[in-house]
Amino acid sequence: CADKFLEEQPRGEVTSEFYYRNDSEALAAVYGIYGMVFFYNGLLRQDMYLRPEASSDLFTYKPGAAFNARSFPQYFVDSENPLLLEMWSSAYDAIGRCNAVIGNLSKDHPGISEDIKAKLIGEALFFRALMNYYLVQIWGNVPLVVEEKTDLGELNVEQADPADVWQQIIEDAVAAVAALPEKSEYDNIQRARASKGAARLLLAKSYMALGNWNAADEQIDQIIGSAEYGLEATIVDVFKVANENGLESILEGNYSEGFTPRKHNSSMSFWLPREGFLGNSTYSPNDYALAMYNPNSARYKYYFSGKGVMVSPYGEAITTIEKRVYLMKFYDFEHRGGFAPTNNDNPFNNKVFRYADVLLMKAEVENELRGPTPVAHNMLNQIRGRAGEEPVEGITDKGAFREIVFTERAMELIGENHRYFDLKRRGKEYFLDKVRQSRPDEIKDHQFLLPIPEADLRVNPLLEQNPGY
Amino acid sequence: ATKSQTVTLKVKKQPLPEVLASIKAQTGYLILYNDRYVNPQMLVSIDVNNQRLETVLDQLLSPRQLTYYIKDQTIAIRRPKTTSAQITRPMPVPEVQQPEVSGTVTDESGQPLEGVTVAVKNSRVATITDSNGNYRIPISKDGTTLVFTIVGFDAQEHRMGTRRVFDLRLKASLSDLDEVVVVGYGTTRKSDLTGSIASVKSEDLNIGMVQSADIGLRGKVAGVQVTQISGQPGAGTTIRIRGTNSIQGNNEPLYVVDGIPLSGGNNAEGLATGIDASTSGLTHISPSDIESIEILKDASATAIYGARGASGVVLITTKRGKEGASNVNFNVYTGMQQLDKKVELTSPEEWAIMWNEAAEYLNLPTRYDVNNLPARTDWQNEIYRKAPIQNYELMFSGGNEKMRYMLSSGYMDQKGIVVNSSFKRYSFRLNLDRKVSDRLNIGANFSVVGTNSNVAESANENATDAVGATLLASPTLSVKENGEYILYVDMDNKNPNPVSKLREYVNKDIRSRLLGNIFGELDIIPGLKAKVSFSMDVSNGKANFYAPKSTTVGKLNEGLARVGVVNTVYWNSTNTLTYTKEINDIHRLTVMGGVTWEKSVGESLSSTASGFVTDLLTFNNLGSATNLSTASGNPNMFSIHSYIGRANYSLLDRYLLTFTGRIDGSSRFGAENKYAVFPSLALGWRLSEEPFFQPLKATVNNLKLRVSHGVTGEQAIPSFRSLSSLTSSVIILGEDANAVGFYQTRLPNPNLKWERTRQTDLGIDVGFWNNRLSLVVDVYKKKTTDLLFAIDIPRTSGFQSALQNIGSIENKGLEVGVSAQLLSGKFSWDMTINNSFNRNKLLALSSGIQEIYNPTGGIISGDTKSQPTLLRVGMPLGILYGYVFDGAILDEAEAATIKQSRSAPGELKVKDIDGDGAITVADKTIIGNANPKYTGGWTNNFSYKGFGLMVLTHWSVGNNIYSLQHVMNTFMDRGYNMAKDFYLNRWTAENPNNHTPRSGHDARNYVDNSWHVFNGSFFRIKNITLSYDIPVNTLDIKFLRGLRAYLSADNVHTFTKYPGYNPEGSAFGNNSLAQGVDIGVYPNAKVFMLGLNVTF
Repeated sequence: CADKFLEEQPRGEVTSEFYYRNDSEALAAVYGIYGMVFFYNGLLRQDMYLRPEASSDLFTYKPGAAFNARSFPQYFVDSENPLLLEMWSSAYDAIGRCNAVIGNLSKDHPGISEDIKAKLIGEALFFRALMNYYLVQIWGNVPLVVEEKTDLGELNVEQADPADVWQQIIEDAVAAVAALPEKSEYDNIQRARASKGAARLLLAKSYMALGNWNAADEQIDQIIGSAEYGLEATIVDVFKVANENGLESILEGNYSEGFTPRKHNSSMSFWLPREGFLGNSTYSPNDYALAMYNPNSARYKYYFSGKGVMVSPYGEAITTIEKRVYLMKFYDFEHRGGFAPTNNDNPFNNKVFRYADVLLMKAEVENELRGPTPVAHNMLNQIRGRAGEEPVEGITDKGAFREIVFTERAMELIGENHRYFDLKRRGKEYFLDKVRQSRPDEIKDHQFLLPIPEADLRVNPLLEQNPGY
Repeated sequence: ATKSQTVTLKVKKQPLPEVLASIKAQTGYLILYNDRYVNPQMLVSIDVNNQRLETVLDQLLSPRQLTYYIKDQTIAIRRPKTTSAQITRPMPVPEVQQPEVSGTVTDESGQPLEGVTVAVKNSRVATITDSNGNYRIPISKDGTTLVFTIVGFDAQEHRMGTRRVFDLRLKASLSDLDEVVVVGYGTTRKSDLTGSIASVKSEDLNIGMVQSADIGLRGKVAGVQVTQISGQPGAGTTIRIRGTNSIQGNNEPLYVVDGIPLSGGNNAEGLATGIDASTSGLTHISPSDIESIEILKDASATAIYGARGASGVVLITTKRGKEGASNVNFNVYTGMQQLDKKVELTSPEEWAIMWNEAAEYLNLPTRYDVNNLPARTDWQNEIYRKAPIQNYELMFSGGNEKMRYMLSSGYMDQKGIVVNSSFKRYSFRLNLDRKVSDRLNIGANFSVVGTNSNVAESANENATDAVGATLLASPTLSVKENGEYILYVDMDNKNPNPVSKLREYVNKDIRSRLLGNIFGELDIIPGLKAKVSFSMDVSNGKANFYAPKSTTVGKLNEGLARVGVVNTVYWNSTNTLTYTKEINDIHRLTVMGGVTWEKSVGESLSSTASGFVTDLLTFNNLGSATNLSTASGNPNMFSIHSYIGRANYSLLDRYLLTFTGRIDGSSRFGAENKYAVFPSLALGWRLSEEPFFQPLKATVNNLKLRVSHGVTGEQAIPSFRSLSSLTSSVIILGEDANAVGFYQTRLPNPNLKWERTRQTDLGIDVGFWNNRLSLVVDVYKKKTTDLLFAIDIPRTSGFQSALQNIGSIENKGLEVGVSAQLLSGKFSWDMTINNSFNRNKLLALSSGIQEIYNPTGGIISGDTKSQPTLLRVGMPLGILYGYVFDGAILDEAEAATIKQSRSAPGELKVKDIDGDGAITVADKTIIGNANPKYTGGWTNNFSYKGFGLMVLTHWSVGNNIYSLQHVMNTFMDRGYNMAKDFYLNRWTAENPNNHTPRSGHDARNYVDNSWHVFNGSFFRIKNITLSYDIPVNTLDIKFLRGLRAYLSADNVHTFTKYPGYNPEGSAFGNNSLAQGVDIGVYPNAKVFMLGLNVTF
């Protein structure tokens, strides 16, 4: 009886032995992946969405910003940077959750229907591929974890060859494409979940990074041919709350108003100015980026002016001040019903993948395979046209067209976490060259890869730091 | 006649006075009694052979409800009072008409002393005082000397002259070996102690402003370091008994109040709503209710508390009623508190000069016209105030042979020196004892306490808290503009206005606690006693927070409200059997065994809401908010089932042995390790009682050697940690705004078990000249193995850390305590002084790891990137780790030679420790140690006639403080206010130097550097109290028995080089990894107060 007296009956928690019994428990385990990807310290809620973008050639920083945040655009990141660790650990935390779902659902569970099981496994495979896609490009030499860890004694994993990581990404994405439903096959309420289109897009991006243009082209054509997606009519419509998870959307981080429990979009605060918007204004677009645009285009006006409400970042008492330009594209004034200070309460979704990206990818792949064909021009000009920019006509040089597409990608997708990876897949030299063109703080060659976080190096003797750190 | 302490008697139905006379003849003892109680009609029979005197007396007197005292060859027999009529009846007047002296004998507090032997010196004439302390004794002639003696008090002799009325106040003896000391699950004579136990009595505890008993312990006991980390009214202290022996546990001792372990200590109290309200469990006990505090230090004393004893045990005994007259005591004090010292920061002009320097250097947009500043604000003046304190206590006590009671109530109202902070306590207590029959006693203790605090936000590692932000606010900004609080108080960061927070926030912490205990004691057969006790500890906490829209947070959220409740119910059933046996006056044996069950169940609930139309409702109507978070429950439970045992054996009163053991089972540990055994053994040798020692006894009246060894444990980890766990989170997925996700948050660890601490203690107790001078010295060594720690695991596993048993820690130390009665007589001077040395060392970490950097639970300040914590084998816990500050880069020539992130003239320079030419993490090293070399206290009591002067000091020497506040106060690029010494010494282009960096230097890559490490040594005059006992006998007010007035100053002065508010301040409370880190800590107040204590 004493033993019973001492038995723990956890309350408010579920122990893992009693899980995966029915469809709704299996679904909740998959939702747990979304929690780690888009919420809490999730990668695409904040860190993975902001830091690589801030490290690209398009952004600068506020001088008084917290050190850890500004060390990204300043190229100061060292292995002890806690934000770096947060990116690393939340990616692997998400992978751990994916592995738990994949591993557990692959076992025999009489309570879970086979149809649902396959789809849920597909969803987990998609997110595992997505995490690895970011990991391998940011760090290069990363451990590849494909099984759930359950034993405290067997946690150390060594770094894999990047080629093996890419191989795994492709395998996972291919399987996800096969298993996942199209966006339209989800209930309307569920359409924010990962779909076949999202998996194809990730697969295409991976092929492009590996230079496998034919395979990429095939996936992109499938997306375009699926008729699941289209462009919103105007550039303003793209970012309207009313159009979230809509026509142009392929994958979004979903947020709503509500300070707690952290349902709001926390990355917004990094773009918005302190005065008026009560933002942190940590990162702002640099002159190099702004110079790419036609300042009279609809896109420029919408992305950066934010209805013209640009306030002095220092308030009334201070007179001689230079204006900083802020990225305002994600802020839907219409939804707000005007202007309200809302540092912690932004409901706007993070755009992870949208259809404009697909069209620009098509333009690029077409150019690589067949040169600057009319198809390539057409894809590019669909985006430029909506942005209020002059169409690009009659380019014959493949290299020139490639640069035009890249610049267009930078302009259209600024702040949406693509530029850093676009530069990287062009190779180390291209990346370093671009970054050096844009910013005063000189990037050192080894900073093409970020350092492996010190915390893991210290506990896992199998890991090796990236060279130069 | 030769005096022997044994008696041989064989009588049958003899009158008691005759039997007593033959005892007197045999022993040479004087026997005093009142013939109303002892008369020839009482016939007794007894048959004893060479029995101890006390045994014989027990046998003769107990059946007749008589008791006795023995002191200095005198036996005083008396009868406990039965009715109040008898109490007031004076002693019978001797028939013979002859001169006599009469009067009243009281103790120091004016309480009448019953049973005091009053004897005429050099004669056989003697009497004893009655229940009102009155005596009447015939004397033969003028000039007779009277001798007053009673156990527990110093004997006094007084020449009467022609006086016929003589009242006397007796002083408790400084160190009486017959004193009874409370030990775990029982009591023992001090002379029989084998363990290291320090005892603090009520009168030593309640000196000065003592909001809770732990504060009263400061500087009083060797080996016990009491640190007041925050001046927040109602905030607790941290107590370290013989060092830090756990990383994960909170290292706080176990508190046991009248036999009930206070469940969970601070943990059970913490409200999960993010409100800083650390109050210790002792906050819920009115200090004046406390009779004594015993601090158990070595394993012999603590092993009986098994898995909770490793950090020491503090036993609190509350006052109980005494037989005799009803006693009423009223104590009141009132006082004024103020900030001890301000932190020295730049003036507005100095600040503007520094800002302009930085702005020019960093190409920041703003410049100031130093002669025309937008505002001049001293932010510290905006948040500190003079604050009153008042305290009232009323206590009734008394009783008779059958029933005794103590009834008390108290009210304390303390305003804090930070605006809007306050603490109120209402306390009630009833302690009852009832003798049901000769063999059965029952009793109960009940206390109800309510506290109500308004908490000032303080201590946060990024100084965004109100107290810290006040020191960062730019002096050229005004608190309000156009009637509204400004939102941010720096140039380019987002530090919210602290004044708006402190003035406008509602931040209530409301708690109530009911401690109840009923017990029964039954004498089963002679020598065998059973005790059964059942206790409950029910505590409720409520947190109410509201940030109105006039504040920054309130504006961001359109009003933000949080409420939280915590509710814990703990019960404890303790059942013991005690057997006492004496054999031939040679062997004395006490054996105690018992079994206990304990269980605690706690629940909490909290809710946050934002978006309020109006500020009027504050936290009272969360439903009116536009955003309401899902309330979260956080249940926890634990149960402990234990067997306890102790044997005390004493041979010839000289050789002492104590064995204790506890078998503890706890729900918190892995399935494989539910039970553990905690044994201890101790030996004592009273050398001074050896025959060969007798020639020395006039000088050394007491000499005892003690040695003990034993094992204790630490189980302070949260519930359910050995099990794997899935946790839920609510996510948003398109229109499905409340999808619930589940995920695993912990890896299971079925091997999780207790920390085990082995401790060896060697002690010596010496008393000189009848204890005029006494000395206690202890050396100890503690080794803690199976150290619990949430160790970092590779993040690639998907988890961040796992609680495991890793490594071991050693503490060893020396404690010296001296007490001396330097002067006695009209002018008396007593003092006690203690000093302790503790050395802490991490012996090993799991599987050969030598270091853990930035360990989980240490300081990682996100904003400043400051990470000064490290665990390193061979070093103590609490070392500070970082770069070595090497001044400033003097000029361009030097800048060219230095490879660090920023190298320019005036930039901060750190040492290249590994000499590889570059500054990397490998250049970090140990830059400080938060552990003091030694700590101690010195108390002096002077008295002259009715006046008393008490001076209490304490000190800590050799500890370092890492000041995150200083880090922030050197960050000019944020626009924070700057430390004055930085302004005075900084590098400027005109005045370059190589010791202090320039304004606007880029320190942040190397922010954890030794520039911010300070010597935290201090010597504090903690309290000076002047008291006067008004001689009530001369006032002719019948009902008044004692009247004392006192004047007290608290925190009188602190001698220290530390530039912050308080060298003891610690932002991270009892976190053993973050010792000595100061930022934004609520400062201590200097207090002046006036009090009155009246006894009726």
